[in-house]
Amino acid sequence: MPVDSKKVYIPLIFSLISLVLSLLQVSGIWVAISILCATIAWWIVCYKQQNGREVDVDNGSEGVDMLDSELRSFMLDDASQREQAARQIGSVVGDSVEKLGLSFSGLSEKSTHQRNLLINIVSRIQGEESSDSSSSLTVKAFAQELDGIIGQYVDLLISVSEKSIDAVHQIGDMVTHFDQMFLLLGQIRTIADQTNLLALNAAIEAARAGEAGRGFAVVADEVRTLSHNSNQLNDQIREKAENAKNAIDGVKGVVGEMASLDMNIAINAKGHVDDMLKELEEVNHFIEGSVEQLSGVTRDINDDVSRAIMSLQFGDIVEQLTQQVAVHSAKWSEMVQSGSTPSGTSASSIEGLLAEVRAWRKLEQVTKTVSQTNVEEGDVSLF
Amino acid sequence: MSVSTKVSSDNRELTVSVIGTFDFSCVQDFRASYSGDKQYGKYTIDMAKVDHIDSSALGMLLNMKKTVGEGIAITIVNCKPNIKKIFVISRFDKKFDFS
Repeated sequence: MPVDSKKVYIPLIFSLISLVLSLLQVSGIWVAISILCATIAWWIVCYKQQNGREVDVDNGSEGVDMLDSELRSFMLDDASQREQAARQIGSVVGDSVEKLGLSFSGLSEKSTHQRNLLINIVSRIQGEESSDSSSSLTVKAFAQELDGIIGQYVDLLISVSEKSIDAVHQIGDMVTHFDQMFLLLGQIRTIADQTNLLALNAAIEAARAGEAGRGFAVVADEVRTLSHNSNQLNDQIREKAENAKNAIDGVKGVVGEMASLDMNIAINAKGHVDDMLKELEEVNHFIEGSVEQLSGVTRDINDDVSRAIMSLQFGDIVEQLTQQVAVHSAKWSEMVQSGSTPSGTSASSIEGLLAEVRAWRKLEQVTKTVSQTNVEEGDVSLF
Repeated sequence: MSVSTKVSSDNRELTVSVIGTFDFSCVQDFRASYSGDKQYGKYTIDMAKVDHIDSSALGMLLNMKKTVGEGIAITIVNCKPNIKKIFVISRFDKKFDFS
């Protein structure tokens, strides 16, 4: 009977350990170990229910030994499977995390490179900076130069017109003077005609005087000749002046043509350049906005990548955890194996195992607190 | 007659109206419109009926300004858009008043 009561206690102890462990532990590995313990307890209970009577009937240590060794082989098998799985998880996660990290770094680098390339293109287009600023001609500078040239052209055109019109005005004044000269010439002709008439009268009077007036008749004749000459001269002057007036009219026409230039070419060109500059300004504005946005996007990408890389620390934690699982499983295997050489009864061997497990637990309690703190820190930065 | 003048009721302002094309053909008439003996305090050029101008019109206006004196205001009014554009490109908006 004391043997029976002792056997009843074994699952109870295991269950209790499992319960305590599951209550105490938060981390997945401890939960796993707790479950394992509970499973072991369950097996033992099942065995006892099935074979208890038989064992009791046999009342020998052979049955217990068999149970013990079978149980140990199950546990060993399980522990080694767990260890293997843990190591596999660790290596897979580790590899993936490393690759992910590399990919993210590459992504960040490439997005920065892309941004720099675009900024270079933009600054090249805008002509903000270039390797040899003196020799390079940007579109903007060209348009501005063109604008300046057209402005100068327009100014020149206006200046020419202004001076031409001034010249035309002066020519007009000259023509007025010519017209006045013609008037004066007319007056001279009248005087000559009157002189001619006077000379005629003098000749008539001289003829009436007879021989005494003969000398006077000669003088009157001379005066008539003079008046004729005067009229001829007058005609010549008039003719010359008329020629000069015509020439001046010609000059006026030429100057007028100089003054009258069509402004439409200049105006259209100027309009086009203005439109071009305005459009350039708009394009520059748009590009600046886009570059700013691009920088923002690149910054965001880099932030995201940094966050992702930071999150990849979970790899370390998973690796740690799987390592712990592996180490624990290995320890389990070791403990189970070490007790399998039956140096005494099965009961004492199980007791020995239990004592070993307890001692190990106690030892683990110290290291666990440290590792768990790490995990919790990882938890905070992760999620 | 493509140039006509009108003196304001207070006899202080002269308005010169040009009709049709403001070009070299107007040179005598335009000059005659302002170069009388009488000096006015203000001159206005009415461009309402002008369809086209060339550079000689600009020369005429500049000569007018020179004749009446820099201190006397010359206002150009009722410009059609295409003509206003010519004045702007010629930077006349800095030399004359526009309204």
